[in-house]
Amino acid sequence: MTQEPIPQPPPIGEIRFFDSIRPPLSQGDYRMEMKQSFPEKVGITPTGMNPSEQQYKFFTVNGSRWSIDPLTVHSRYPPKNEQNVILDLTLPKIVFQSKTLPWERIVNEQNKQLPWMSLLLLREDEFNICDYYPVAESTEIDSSSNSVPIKLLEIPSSLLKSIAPTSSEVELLAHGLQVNPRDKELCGSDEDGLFSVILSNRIPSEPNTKYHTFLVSLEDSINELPNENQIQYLTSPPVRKSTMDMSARFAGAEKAARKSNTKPSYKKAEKATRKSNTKLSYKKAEKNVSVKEAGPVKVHVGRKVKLLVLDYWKFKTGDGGDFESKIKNIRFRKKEEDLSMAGDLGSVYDFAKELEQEESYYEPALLGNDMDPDISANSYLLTDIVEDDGITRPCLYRGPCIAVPTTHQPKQKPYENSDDARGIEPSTGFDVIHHSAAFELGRLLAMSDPNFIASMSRWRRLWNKKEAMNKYRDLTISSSPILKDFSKEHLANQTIKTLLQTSVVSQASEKYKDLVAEKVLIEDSIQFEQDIPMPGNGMEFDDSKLDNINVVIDDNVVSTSLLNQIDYRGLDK
Amino acid sequence: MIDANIGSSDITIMSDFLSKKYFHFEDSEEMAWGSVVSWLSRLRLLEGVPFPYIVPSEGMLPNDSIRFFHVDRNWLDALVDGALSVGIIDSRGALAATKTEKREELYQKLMNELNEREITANPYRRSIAAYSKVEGLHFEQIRGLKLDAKFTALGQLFSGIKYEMGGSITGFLLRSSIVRDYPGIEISAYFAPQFVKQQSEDAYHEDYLLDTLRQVRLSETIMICLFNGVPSHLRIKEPSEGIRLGVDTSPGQDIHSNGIWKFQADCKDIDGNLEVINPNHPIEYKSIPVSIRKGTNDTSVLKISDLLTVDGWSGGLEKGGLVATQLMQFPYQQDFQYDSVIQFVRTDPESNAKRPSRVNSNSIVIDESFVENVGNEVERKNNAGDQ
Repeated sequence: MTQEPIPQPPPIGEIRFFDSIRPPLSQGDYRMEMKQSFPEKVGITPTGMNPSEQQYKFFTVNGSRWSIDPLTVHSRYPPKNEQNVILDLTLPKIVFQSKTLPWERIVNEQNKQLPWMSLLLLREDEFNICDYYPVAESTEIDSSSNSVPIKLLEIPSSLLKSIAPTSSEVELLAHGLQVNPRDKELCGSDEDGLFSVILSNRIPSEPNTKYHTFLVSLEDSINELPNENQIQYLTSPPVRKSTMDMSARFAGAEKAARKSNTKPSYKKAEKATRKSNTKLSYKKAEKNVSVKEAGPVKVHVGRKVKLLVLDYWKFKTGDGGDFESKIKNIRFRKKEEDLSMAGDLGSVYDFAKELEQEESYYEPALLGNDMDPDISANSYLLTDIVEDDGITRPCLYRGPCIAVPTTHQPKQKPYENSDDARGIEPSTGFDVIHHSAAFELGRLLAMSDPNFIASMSRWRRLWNKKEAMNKYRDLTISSSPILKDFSKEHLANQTIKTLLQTSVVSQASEKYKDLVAEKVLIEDSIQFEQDIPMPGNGMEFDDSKLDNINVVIDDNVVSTSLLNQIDYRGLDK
Repeated sequence: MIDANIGSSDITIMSDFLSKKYFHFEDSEEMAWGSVVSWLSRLRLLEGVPFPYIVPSEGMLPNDSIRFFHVDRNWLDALVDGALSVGIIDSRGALAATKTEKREELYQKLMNELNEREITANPYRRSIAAYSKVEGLHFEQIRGLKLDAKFTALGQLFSGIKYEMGGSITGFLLRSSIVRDYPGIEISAYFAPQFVKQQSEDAYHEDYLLDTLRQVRLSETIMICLFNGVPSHLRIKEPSEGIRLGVDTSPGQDIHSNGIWKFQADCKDIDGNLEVINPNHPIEYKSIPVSIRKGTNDTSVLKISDLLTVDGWSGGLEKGGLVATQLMQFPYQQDFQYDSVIQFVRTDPESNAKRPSRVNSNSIVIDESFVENVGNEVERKNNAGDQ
């Protein structure tokens, strides 16, 4: 077994399956070791520190045991509460957005690959001999734990053994998969295209029957699953129910009813009632009893197994309701010659069934064209507007999504108010309000978001400041003598501080040019040619001899004049 | 056995780059500007726009329907103008500049930035789209680089990928229980006008794929999808992660027939292709018999381990992944094709606006009788009390 990094998403239309996607750290207790070494001496001074420090920290990695986050459930098949599930031999399944969820807890130390959950499918008659408690407490399952609200299923052991996967099959019923998320709807924040799936091992096979699907935790229940050697498989066509002896079934039902009235079970019902404190739960207990008395159910006597339910949904079988039949049901509107008539709605398949009559026109099915009542060919809706004078007048509106392509006419500057955005329809004189409506909407949406207003006003302030700075900078450059020495391009990347300093230095050198020249003249008369270093003759340059010249540009003089030169007024704008 | 570990992928790195590209600022002014632009770019993809503004009349989108549309960019501009107007506090207008030319320049800059940002509004989606255009070898080199160098290389990579900006945006609204029951529905739009009116699979090729700008559920049963461009072909597919996994009956039987005691699954090879026994007509495919458990009073509980009995899978999937592959059924897909790609706008060059109007008068219906009809229609509707 190798652990490989997750590959890039497959091309669109392909699916990549994984046997499992395990979390980077599996469930368990971990010890973190931290080491740091210190020098014994720094230079010659001993530090007095321990040369190596070591510390341990402990932590536990644990999956959520008692429940799963409902938001991690990406989809269920057949869909929850679907009333018309087609019998197409498809296994029910639940898909999680969390790619590692089924492998986050370890139920069997010997086989860490084993998922900790399994999906059970119960027929309505089987469900009736089980007890489902949507409100129970975790102490029912594990008395050592703290009390946590859970969902609980009590299922006869024999029933569980006949329908549940064997312990070796559990592993086969979980997989991970990766798809390309590029063409997918964004589902929450999880957009990496990785999912995990738990399949059931049972298909819904009876028409017009209710089915109940339970995602149960296998933790501490793994031994309740059937063993391969306890299971028999059909080797010839089975005897159908209709040929079964009815009296035998009735006897079975009575027995089941008696069984369900035994004390432990009844107590359980009471207990659930007390805990949830709702009538519903009590009613449910009653209903269970009455159903069991009347209903012809198969006998499942014996011990009941308590299973922790992580997710539960039900559906009913029928003869449609799958993706294919639903999408084929999508309806289009037929075009009518008379504009005031709304065309019939029907699916492409309905229209195709009709006679191949004169060209019935229903495609492309555009949003808001004259196939819809009230809407014009180019998506205008005639509506009313109450003007500022209080009079209601007709006007035309259309949304951002329209049936015809329009030419984009970029404006030079934004509309400044919504009246600015109003238009008129030339032939009728009706006001066209869609731009004003959009303007008002944009304004309202912006106003409702304080963050946007804050960034907008912040930007205005900062932008003005930046503009003022730039203006000042331009002024500084244009009025200063440094332009003689540097090109504008060269100055563009300099900070304003550098510019100021350079400019002051140049100005100062202008100002003191005569002085410097005079000084140079004086010093020219001094003989020190032999002291001036010549390249290559190895003589050092003596600073002290040049000090006299440097004194001329005094630091204090420069800084005072710098202060006097800066026009701070420009910065306040 | 193929198990996966969690690590960051190339796509994640690319998407990080894209998101950081817009969050890397020279100074605080740019930072504030960046946040304004990012808010407006979301607005431009109709985020937060109330549904009645998009679909003003109920008849436009009945139950179980799909309706295609063009997005009116002029409308979006007006929407952005409205949002900008909250910045008007003095005569300098929404954009702070004093000079008109400067203001207009800023406005153009904003609009251009918005055009780019609507494409990259979702960095992850954008990266996947870009990734498919980059040669694998090229990325091999980038992967080895250090973070800074990697970002520089990625910047070059992205600037090398051309995409259409500021062009037509189109889309559709889908109202059906599919949206609720099949989350993760897969929708691809293609621009391949040469294949219109042909039953050709060629149109649905990666090369013609248009970028999806936004695909989101507006309510439990309504989905909106926006594309960058005008598609000629559209394919809606059952979500791959929700692909049907199931078995078949033996030939000549169905689930209702009596006497079923075994199911079968189509045998697939390691690439997921059907294994063929006889390639001649009629093609025969290899199948795996699947046993059914006794004692459930119906034929429903499968012997899952039967599906492991296939050859040629060594080194590939061994457990859950193998079972899923063998049970895989073909997903259903619904294709849509435009009748005509180019639609002509009704225009009347003779008409003159009565007062200066910024509305694109080209697109307003000129036919007076139409408006009469619309008026009658509205009246009729009110009298009847229903639609």
